[in-house]
This record gives sequence, C-alpha cells and structure tokens, in this order.
Amino acid sequence: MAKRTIVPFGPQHPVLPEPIHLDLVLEDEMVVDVLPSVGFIHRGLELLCQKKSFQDMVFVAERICGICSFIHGVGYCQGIEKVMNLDIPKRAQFLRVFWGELSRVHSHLLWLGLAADAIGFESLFMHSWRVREKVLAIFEETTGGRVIFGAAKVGGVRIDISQDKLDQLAIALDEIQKEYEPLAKVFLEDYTVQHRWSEVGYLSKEDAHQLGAVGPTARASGLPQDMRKLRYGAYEDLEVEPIVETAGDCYARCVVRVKEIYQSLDLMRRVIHKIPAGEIETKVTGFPQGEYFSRVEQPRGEVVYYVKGNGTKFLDRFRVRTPTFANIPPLLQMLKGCTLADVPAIVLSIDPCISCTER
Amino acid sequence: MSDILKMFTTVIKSLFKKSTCRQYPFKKPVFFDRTKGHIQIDRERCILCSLCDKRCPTGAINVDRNARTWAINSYKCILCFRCVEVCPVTCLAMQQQYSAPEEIKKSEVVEIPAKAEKAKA
Ligand code: SF4
Ligand code: SF4
Repeated sequence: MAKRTIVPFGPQHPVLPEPIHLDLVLEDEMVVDVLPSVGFIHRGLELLCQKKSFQDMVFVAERICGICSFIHGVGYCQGIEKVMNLDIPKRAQFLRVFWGELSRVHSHLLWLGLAADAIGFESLFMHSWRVREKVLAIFEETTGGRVIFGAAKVGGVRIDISQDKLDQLAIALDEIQKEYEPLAKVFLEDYTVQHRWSEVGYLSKEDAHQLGAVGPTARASGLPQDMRKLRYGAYEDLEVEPIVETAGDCYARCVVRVKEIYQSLDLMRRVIHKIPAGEIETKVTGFPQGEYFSRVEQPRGEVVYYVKGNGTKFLDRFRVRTPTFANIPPLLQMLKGCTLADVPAIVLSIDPCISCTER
Repeated sequence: MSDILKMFTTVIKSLFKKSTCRQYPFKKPVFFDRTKGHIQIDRERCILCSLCDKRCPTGAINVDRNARTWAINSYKCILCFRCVEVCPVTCLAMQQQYSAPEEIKKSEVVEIPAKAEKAKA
C-alpha cells in the first residue's frame, strides 16, 4: 500500500472564492478519503427571526445568497403565505416565476463561466459573462437591483412590470438566446471541454438517490427530480419537464445546465405570453400562526424553508436547508477515487455556494 | 480541428465588434428609472411622523421630533424602498446617483424647518 498523505484543499483556493475546507487523504495521486469542514462564515440567520418582524425577514432571506437571492425570498414568502392561508394573485405568481427563471439563467451562465475558467478556457469564461451581463441589465431595469432585488414580499410582489416593458423583454430574451447559442455549442461539442470533464467525478443513480443529491447534480445522474414539478405558484399553469442526463459525470452536469438555460428562456417567454392582468399583492392582516415546510427549486436544486409562527410579529423558528448542503455528501462520494488534479473540477461541478450552506 | 474552430469564430467576431464594456470615464453610466442610488428627503414637506423610522428594516433612519431632525445612515440603508412607500406625504424619494464614498461612516442629519418658518418661506 502506498503511503497516505493528507493535502488540505481550501478554505482559500483559487478555483473557489468561497470558504470550504476539505482534507484530502491521498495515496500517491489518488484521493481515497475526504473529510469536509464548513463553518467559516456562519451568520446565525436562523435566530434573527426572533428579532426582526416576519415581513422584514424577507430582506434577510434574500441576503442568504447573492446569486439566487430572489428565489430565497420567494421560498420564505411562500412558507409564510401558506401558514397565513393567503391567496396570492396570479399576476404576482407569474412575476415571481419570471424573475426566478431569469435568476436561473443568470446563475447557470455564471457557473458556466466559472467552470470554463477552472479548465483554463478563458475566452469562453469571458463570453459567458458577457451574455450574463445582459441578464443583469434586465434585473436592474425591472427591479432596480442587479443582485438583491427586494421584489418579493409576503402577499405578492412589490414591483409590477408593464405590458410594454414585457414585450420589450421578450425581444431582449431572443437576443440573449441568439448570443448564447454559439457558446452553448462550444460547451456541448467542443473537444477541450469534453476531454476535461467526461468520466470525471462519476455519481451513480443509486448513490445520487441514497445520498440525497438535488438539482442538476441529481438530474445529471438520471434522477428526474425537480421541485417545479410540485407545481407551486404559477408553475401550476406552466408545464416543466426536468432535463435529465444519465452519464453522471461532470460533463453531464454541465450539459444539464446548458440545456436548462434554454428551458428557462422558453419558460419566460411563456410567462410573458400568459401573464394575466390584475393585482400584484394581497393585503396581509394578522400574524402567522402554525408551521410549514416550503420547497422551491433553485438553480442549484431544492431549497427547503421551515417557518414556525406563534401568532406574534416575530417567528418562533426559521430554518433553511440549501441545495449545496444536500450536495456535499454526494460530492464526497464523487471525490473518492479521483486524482488530485481533478478535485477542483469536481468540487465546482456541484455549483457549490458555501455562504448559502452556512447561512 | 473543427471542434476548436467553434470558439474561434466567436472570438474572431468579437475582435471586430465594438467594446462590450463601457469605457467609464469617457462614457457615463445610464441609470434606469428604478436604479437604487440613495434616499433623499424634501425637508420642506416632512411632518416628522417618524413612520419611516419605524418601518425601516435596518434602522437606518432616525427621526427626532424634539430636535426636529431627520437623519439617515446611508451605510445601513439597503435601498429597499420601504420608507419611500410608507411616507404619508411622499417627501422621500430614491435618487439614481449612488452616494459618494466618505472617510468616516456617519449619519447625514437634515434639519426640518418648523411650520411657522415654512409658512414664512
Ligand atoms: S430604503 Fe429601506 S433601508 Fe433605506 S432608509 Fe428606506 S426603509 Fe431604510
Ligand atoms: S415618513 Fe415622511 S413625513 Fe414621516 S418622518 Fe419620515 S420623511 Fe417625514
């Protein structure tokens, strides 16, 4: 047996700007075991709910993550709305889907850029982020924020988009798709990308299921799991088919994300086409009493929000299970048996968001 | 070989296109209607009801009725529009220009003129 060495990975690592620490147990070049440790940026949000009113907590929930901020806000609001038995106007629900799907496009483009950067494909990274910039411009135009929108609120949304603007946005979406297409081709057909990722970081369907993988990580291993199939909010009227790949390697996870961008662009077009006129919020009276588990689909997978109200302005308990947290056990499984040089690529392939994980 | 050419066409094309980045000092940024810059008060109209103080989620606004002052700490403000929405006389507004950097983090204090003075003016 070769001599075992432990190589630390992170919390500061060039491929990953966020702090996660992995102790890699190596035998020569091969990883045989991995010990993760998180907790470098714990912010203690879950207790904050006892000091901030349930309506102010939306702003806190949005700040859990800088990439899927809007969907975090929606997940929280949805939980409170279920506890309070509020009926949300259709228009608000459609707007939530619109911004949510746009966040997905933005998040996936960001990931594709970072992933290209991690394999040393700098020009692809730059061009992915060039397209992403257009998405951010839409966010700023419609909500005023590029990262944190402050658009979600308990009972609906705070900002409306006029019909004229929506028609303009449909044109902007077509432009984004046109610019994205050549890049998607590179990801799907280029030799360099395939060569680096194929058969790296394999996760079988059984392991994905047993270890509780979520989102693109699960879908790339052949599990058709997508919370949008629960048909929450406006997904009731919008049919979504999860995009599934069966290879289970890093490349499959990339392909799932590349295709999901098309799916999200298509969903947004359907939202623009179908969105009904009307109110964008219902009046909220009283305080939440009771508990609820809200599950929504984020770019990285399923996020679970648990809220418990006690009939006062402040919640009793508020808990978040973010997708990266669920994806860490599958990640450890993927890392076993790979070479040291593949570790950054595999860690990146689950699209880790460590600040989310630690809340 | 043709695989490598896929990215090549995009790269070559972008060589002849005009720059994607805004050349900042020569070209100023365009703000959208909703761009979040900073909160500004119309001091003539404020009635010191302190609703904005109570509703601000971060406690960035401080209204002192006795001293007749309205103060905002722009380092705490998260530009959420809440105060703009709740002000009963709509004297608060979001300005598009971002607030300038400062050496010391401090609140900006605005004195609210009394009614009599307002009438005179
Ligand atoms: S915009 Fe929001 S955070 Fe800023 S002062 Fe107004 S209420 Fe407070
Ligand atoms: S809510 Fe408006 S009127 Fe009332 S104190 Fe604030 S700025 Fe003045």
